[in-house]
Amino acid sequence: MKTIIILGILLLTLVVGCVNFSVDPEIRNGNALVDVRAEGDKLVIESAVDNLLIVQDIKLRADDVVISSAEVESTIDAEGVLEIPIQFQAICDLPEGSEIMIDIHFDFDGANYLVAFNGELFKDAICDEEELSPPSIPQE
Amino acid sequence: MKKLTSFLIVLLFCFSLVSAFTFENGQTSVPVQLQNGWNLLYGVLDVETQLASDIANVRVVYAFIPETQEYARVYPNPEVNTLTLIDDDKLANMAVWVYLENYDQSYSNLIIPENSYIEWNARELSPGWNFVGISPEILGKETNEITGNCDLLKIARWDTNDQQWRVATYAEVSNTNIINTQAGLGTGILFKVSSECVLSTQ
Repeated sequence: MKTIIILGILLLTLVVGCVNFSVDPEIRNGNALVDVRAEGDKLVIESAVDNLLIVQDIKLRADDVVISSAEVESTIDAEGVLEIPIQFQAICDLPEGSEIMIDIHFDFDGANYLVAFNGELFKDAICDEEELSPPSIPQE
Repeated sequence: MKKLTSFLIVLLFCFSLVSAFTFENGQTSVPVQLQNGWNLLYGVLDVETQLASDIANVRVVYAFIPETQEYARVYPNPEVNTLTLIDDDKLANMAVWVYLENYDQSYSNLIIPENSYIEWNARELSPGWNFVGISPEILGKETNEITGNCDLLKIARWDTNDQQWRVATYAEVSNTNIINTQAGLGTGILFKVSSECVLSTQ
């Protein structure tokens, strides 16, 4: 009888443990974990799961060609935001409206995710034209 | 006596034709030679209006603030905080930098508004370099005839072809003309002065 009770408690603990540590099925979908947007010369990754998520690397693709990539290995901060400087100028030669893919490889809860975001290239947002400075005033 | 009076009236009329820009309907249109790269032009503060036909070629416009001896962007995204350091009308009569790209014309019409126009004789300069807009009052005059009470130290012209400065001391150019033909109107020149002063013509 004792053995049955002990086994029962152990079984209950395991079940509760599994329930406690299981991940919401929706969260298993990598796209639900992170959101991404380009701001100036950086990529802003936002996540509701903040410091549980470690971004490993990022790739910028157009027509299946990797144009720019960055190895990051950074943890999303307590605000749920990670800003990563990335070289966007490489895609600024593409025509306005080109389809751009952003691959984000990250770890979460011991699992490895690779999510891809696609979007249109809006040059105004990320392709700052090279700043032109007027000629210096004549020197003495 | 009548002949003398008539002659004086004609002379006065002729003088008035070249003494300042001639405005119609609140503005004047001045043909200016432009090139790709940096151009020094008379008071381009409203690019869409003043260089309307070339707006697609204008990449950036900068003004020089004489009080602080620094540049401020006028177009695009004007640096309002810096531009407000100087009076609007004063700014409108200075020369500003206009950078053109993909420009395939030889000249354009620059619109100069009448309501902000300050005649040469009332242009105030600050110590240091001043970007001065060239207007008809100085056409054909020697440098020593257009400086008013200013202690002019140096003069600089921008060579649009070579995209570089041509600098001279006042002594070197005091007896030469700043502009001889209409072609220089609507452009700009740099005067370096030792103290605050007002330009005027003799």
